[in-house]
Amino acid sequence: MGGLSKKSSLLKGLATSADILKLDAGTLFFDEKLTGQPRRLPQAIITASAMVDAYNLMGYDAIAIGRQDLSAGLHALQTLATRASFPFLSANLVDTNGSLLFTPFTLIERAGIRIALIGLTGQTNLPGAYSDTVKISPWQHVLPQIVAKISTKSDLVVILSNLSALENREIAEQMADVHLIFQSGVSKQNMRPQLINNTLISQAGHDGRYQGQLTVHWTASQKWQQGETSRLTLQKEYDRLGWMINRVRKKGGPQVVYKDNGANLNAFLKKRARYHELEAEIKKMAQDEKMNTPDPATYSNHFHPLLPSVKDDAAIIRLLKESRQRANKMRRQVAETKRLNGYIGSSACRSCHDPMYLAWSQTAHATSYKTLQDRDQNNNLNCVYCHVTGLDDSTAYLAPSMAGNLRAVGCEACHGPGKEHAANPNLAPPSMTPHPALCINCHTPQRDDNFNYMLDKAKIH
Amino acid sequence: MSLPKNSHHLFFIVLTTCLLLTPGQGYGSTTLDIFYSNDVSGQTEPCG
Repeated sequence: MGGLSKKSSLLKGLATSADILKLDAGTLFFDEKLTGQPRRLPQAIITASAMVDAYNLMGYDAIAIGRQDLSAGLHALQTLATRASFPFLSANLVDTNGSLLFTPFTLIERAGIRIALIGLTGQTNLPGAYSDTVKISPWQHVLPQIVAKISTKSDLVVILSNLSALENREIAEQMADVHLIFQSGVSKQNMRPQLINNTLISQAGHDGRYQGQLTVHWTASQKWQQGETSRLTLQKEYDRLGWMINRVRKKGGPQVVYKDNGANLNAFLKKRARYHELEAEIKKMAQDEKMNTPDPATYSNHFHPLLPSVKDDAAIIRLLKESRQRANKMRRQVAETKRLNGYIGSSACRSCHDPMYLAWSQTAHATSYKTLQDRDQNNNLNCVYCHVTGLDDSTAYLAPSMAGNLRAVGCEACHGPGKEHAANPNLAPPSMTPHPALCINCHTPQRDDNFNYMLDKAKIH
Repeated sequence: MSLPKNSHHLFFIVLTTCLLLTPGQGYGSTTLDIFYSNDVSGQTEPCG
């Protein structure tokens, strides 16, 4: 969600014409951690509402519903859908009577193309609490009928799919009238578009760090240029060899560069021969492509990283800030009180371990709670347990009522509760060196991709 | 060999015809940009 302000600004910069579509393949709002954790629900719904508002501002055209989006319950998702100025699509999410619960598809016209957008929700297990009231139909039961129904009303059929990669492949293999599939999924990697029969399957990496842009020149043939993917692979090899050959030529040619190394010279000559083979092969493939499909549709694809250097959209920043303040206030109101047993706070440790305390007080651990306060995140259940002492994922809800001297990643966060040790220093020794697994609980790759246990441990004391 | 007097007109006509025919029979005059993302739960917002 933090990337939304950058995403918005990036889209504004890239969207230079009116002929654009903005889509999301789903699993946007909730994750499965929410199931069975009712304390997290109010915060998650406030955050999701802000996301809908942000997507409204960005002018999204449609999103698909992922099965995880039901983690907050059907009613919550339907309420979010009414807040959105774009449809939540699912053609296979039904109630126990088999009636559709959301819009199955929508028709949009852009660049003179009549586009059908269909949503499909993943078939894997539903979040437990809702599996009795909501069913997911197999795609085979719904998709053929929908595609048949819309075939005369649309020129380009696009699926936003939360199905598995295997199922999407099956759709591509069996349904020539589906032209594009944007899939959501757990893959962190961006996936270059793959052409299977006449269906192009694309996926941006799952954590929203990249924005995909597919530029399509759709034609009346309604057929993608076949073989383009394999031709582009050869083209890459051809370009790489060409660059290397050119570099050797600039240095005086192979006889000069490799004059003392016969093996390297032979290797170079082989590469040069391969370069010429590729040239002929690529030329022939391009000719064949033209012969096979007159006037084929073509595409190009880019993944744009949401780098820190991308500027933030002020309107989205404002919207998110209001949402954080609303959530913070709500969490304070529902705060529960419970003492944390065994913890005494870092200042108590100082009386015996002053040098260690002073070194620690200069680190980011000492101000970790304040960084949250500055962003109205100090009661965010997804954040706070990593910024205080004595809480974990399951007890984060105690944060608003915890003692002030535990509001930092203090001595006891790494060395364990200190009450017994303070009473009997020799009988109850603390854990001397924290196990790497303890640190990695919070310094996850997603939050801190530069974390290095050995180097970073030394920064504390 | 000298070119006929109006050869540049002929060249212009040929060039223009080529340019007009080169794009495929698309549905519109421009391409379509589809922006897509796959955000697995935006609940993972940055903390501090």
